[in-house]
Amino acid sequence: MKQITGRLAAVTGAASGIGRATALALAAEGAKFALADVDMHGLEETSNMLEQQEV
Amino acid sequence: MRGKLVTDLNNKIVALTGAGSGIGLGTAMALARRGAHLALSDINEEGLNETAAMVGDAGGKVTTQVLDVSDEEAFNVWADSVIADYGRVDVVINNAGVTLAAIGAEQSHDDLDWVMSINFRGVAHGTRAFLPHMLERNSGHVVNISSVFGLFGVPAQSAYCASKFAVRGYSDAIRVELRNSNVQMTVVHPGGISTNIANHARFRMQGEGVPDRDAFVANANKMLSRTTPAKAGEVIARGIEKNKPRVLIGGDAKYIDIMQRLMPARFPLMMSSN
Repeated sequence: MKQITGRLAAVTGAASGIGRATALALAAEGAKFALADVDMHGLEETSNMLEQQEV
Repeated sequence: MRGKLVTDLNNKIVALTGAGSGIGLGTAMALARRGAHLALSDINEEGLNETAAMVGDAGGKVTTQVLDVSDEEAFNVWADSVIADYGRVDVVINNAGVTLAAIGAEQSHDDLDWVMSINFRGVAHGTRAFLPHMLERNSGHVVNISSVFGLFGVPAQSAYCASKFAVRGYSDAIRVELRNSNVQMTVVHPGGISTNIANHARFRMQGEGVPDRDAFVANANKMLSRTTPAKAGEVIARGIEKNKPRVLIGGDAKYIDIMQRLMPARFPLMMSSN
């Protein structure tokens, strides 16, 4: 399997749904992120969830 | 050939785009031989007039209109005038199409829009222009030309593939909507047909080891030399007569259709192994 730890992933539509779930799943494998969405509020939520997951 | 002939094309009124050459010309000939009346359009007036001259002797009514299918308003004006002139339209064949040779990573969105606006939006314009009229009469047939490139991915053809996959999805969805009506929807996937599509392609490839325009066109035309436009037109006419939901043209199309389903990720790589 491809090593994900330390890789940078750009995720569009990251504020909810598949985008958010993908970001969380990649984060669990150690990826870093650049997130994008038109929904600023949802994007911040995803960002907070990622930070919590990292602890 | 298997399948019952359920639709008689004699005296049917057919609107056809891209009638000036290639599959459009072949289809116009096949329909004229069956006694259909034709409303022909093409962006190329010279080719359009040649087709009209070739089908004129068959005895059916023939009219022509220079039309850019990407122009929704112009398409609607033509559709309304055909319905007014002939009294009704039984079949619309959305055939006009173009291609572009470009690598996805380098392709401009202007070029992408050009292909989509003709190959996909043109088909949608034609469907939208005639379908309400057909539903009102609860009689009619929409024929949308996709491609084998609407079945599998091909390098340097991402815009064309996108447009032809779009035609397939759009047509398949509307066919289900029409299931309780007497209006038919056929999507056609031609394999290699010896048309002018490669000769008229926009060519945007450059750099080391990339074929030049002449080499690209020569190679494309070799792959397109499997079926003649006349034969393609016959297959399309038979498909209409049999109310077929899906028409594959050529042995190559039938092979691709099966192989792509057996190996959805691997088959496109095998086809482009050189």
